[in-house]
Amino acid sequence: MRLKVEGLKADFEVEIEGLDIEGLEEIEGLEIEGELILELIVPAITKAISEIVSKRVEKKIELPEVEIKELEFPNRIREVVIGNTEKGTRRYSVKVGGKGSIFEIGYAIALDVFDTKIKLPKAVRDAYGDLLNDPVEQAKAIEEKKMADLIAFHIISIDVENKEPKEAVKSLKRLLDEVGMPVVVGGCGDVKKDVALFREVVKVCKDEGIVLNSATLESGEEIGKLAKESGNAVISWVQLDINQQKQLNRIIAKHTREIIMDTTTAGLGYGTEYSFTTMERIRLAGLKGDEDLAYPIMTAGSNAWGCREAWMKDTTLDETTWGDRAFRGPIWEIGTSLVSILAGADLVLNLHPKSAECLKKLREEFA
Amino acid sequence: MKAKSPLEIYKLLPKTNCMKCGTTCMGFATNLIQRKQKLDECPYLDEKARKKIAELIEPNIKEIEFDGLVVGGEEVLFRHELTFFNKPPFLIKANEQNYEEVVKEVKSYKKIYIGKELKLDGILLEFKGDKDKFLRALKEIDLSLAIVAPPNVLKSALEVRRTAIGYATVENYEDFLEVAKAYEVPVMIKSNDLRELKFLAEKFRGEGVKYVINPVLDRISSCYDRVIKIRVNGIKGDRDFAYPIMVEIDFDDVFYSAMASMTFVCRYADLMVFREVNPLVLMPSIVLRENIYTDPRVPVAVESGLYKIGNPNGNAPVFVTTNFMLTYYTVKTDLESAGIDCYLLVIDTGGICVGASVASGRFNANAVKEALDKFKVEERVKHRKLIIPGLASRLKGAIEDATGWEVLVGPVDSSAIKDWLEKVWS
Repeated sequence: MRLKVEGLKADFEVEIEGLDIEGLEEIEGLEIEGELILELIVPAITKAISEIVSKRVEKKIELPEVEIKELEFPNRIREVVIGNTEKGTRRYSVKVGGKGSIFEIGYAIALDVFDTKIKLPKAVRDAYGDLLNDPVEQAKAIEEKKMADLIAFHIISIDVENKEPKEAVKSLKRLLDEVGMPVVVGGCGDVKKDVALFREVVKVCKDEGIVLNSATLESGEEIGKLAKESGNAVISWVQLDINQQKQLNRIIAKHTREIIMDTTTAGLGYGTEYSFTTMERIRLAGLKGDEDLAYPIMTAGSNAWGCREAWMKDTTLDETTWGDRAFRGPIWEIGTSLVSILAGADLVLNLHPKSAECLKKLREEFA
Repeated sequence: MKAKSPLEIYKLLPKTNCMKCGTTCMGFATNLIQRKQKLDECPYLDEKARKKIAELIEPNIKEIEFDGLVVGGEEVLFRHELTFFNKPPFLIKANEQNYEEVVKEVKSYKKIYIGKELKLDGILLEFKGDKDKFLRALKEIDLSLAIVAPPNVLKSALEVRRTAIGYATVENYEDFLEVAKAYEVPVMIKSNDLRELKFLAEKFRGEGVKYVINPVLDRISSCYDRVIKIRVNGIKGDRDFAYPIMVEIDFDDVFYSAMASMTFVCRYADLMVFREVNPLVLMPSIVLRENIYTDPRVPVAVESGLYKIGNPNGNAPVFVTTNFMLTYYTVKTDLESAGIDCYLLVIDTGGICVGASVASGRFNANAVKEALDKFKVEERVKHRKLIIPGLASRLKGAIEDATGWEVLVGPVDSSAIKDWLEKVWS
């Protein structure tokens, strides 16, 4: 009997005399002389034998048929296309949503780019280096290296530098001129400033199919209208509240159904039980037929960077070391994103390129 | 569980309302359904009724105990439908050669989270060929463990220690069946093929042997597919699959390991095995496990109130924060470890953290004023200064107007309080 032996420095074949593969008894009594060789070879032989034996057993036993019941849902999540390649200048478009099950996994990935310098965690500064000096250069690098599917461009200069919206959107214009990726355009989080900003944003991205990030209960009416008139989509953002989410979606839907929900994502460990369950319930409601909630979901995995476990040097508290910050930060962001992905998220925003890279690999597996 | 309403249970109870269990019979029936009380708490049940009720309230997924660990026992696919009950124990792999080192690492691992110490749960002891050493390890390890060894070693191993054994496959299951029956221990069955798992499950269940299903974590995606199918069908009434699921994470790539582990914490692992004690993988997983297994029926909040940190006097600073449990414990720990004697005024934000409660309006000037009055802060300190979290900075003016106290805006993260305080407080 010849067996191919793997797992040593080089694969080679050994010959074992008197080995009867048809009978396991023979193998159990197997003896080979020479200790060194025995130690090296036995695991490999065992593996090879077990492979052969398992083939043999397969023939003998009758495996039962498994009747798999799926969790079935009557409805499908709407599909939103980001990036207009015909009327607009985007190089390609990205579809999000369209799922028919809570267990279906699929998502687009956006990397965050800020229009002005802000304090970023060290791991992120190290990853981008000098590219952080110019947001458009940063976005170009993301495009060239295919680090993500979309750019999540955050115009925060209207807050941190008190820039006039008209002035602030110039960098967005440049971005759209030089980068062909679909874009999510975000504001600073102050509702009044953001409404003023989006009035200018829609002027420079007519029919680009970008996503306005975001409309709130206060601004939903106007931003929904702006999105519709300019041929763009909108993010509907509510803080962890299913009823308010429905309410806001309805307000926006009077103008456009190109809606993506931001149901709010807590950084891992900082309210994950709320954000995971809220997202899961909203997705289940959509799948069960609630049209007001049957929209794709966006998750800001980048919120992980607010957690000290992501950015702090290492613990000074009385506990085990937290591990190298260069890994820990992205892992915290990946985890924050992944929890949402499992709850149904269709679009993920990340800050660190490594997070995007890992989630991209995972997505390929699920495709 | 089979019982759909407390009435089904109630009619089998003594209906005497003796209160020995702490509540009425109807209350007890309700608590049994919600799994807030155990059947044994009723001292007046006859054997027949007990058996009947036990059947009615048996969890959809079998609950299995071995060597101090409890796995499975789940009722629902989604935590908001009730809650998840038993956190998957985290076991670390070891063998008879390296166990002393591994046991030490497992014991010393600790993550402090909302005032709790999160710890690892035990060892998966694998046989590497030295029987004497293996048996010695089984004797010496003073942590919970499960055994992975070939059938011819199992009998002597179980003589030393009774616990779950594995891995039973379609090739060797007959040997495992024999040993498991003789020693009354659960078996870990393993295959990446649902038909093989079904075959094994039928065999063991048919003989009354309990088991844990290991669907093999080869890739996250394919294992995910099997895990979902097993759990959905287990909950939907497939009796072979109504058993706990285990996953074994054994990859070189730390990012991939972390993704695998977090995927199955969220999706249905009842027992998890890790290759090694690596905080990069374990810390996010152990925190996530805590979150996912939090009972959604209970708010994650602490009582609002005025809490003393150290020994504050009349000149001690007063910090304001929310009653979200994690915020409270984080701030408290930071103040304590910085050695600051002070008061912590915890306001009721409905268990929501600072950022979100400021945005939603629950953290507002009026709430601060109410707490100041209710907990009589002005009787405790001579000064009239409040320190609010950096994330609540925009409320400074409003709080000053509402309370008449001077408001200082503290740092965004409480880890920076010590340095900040030295500059502003004398």
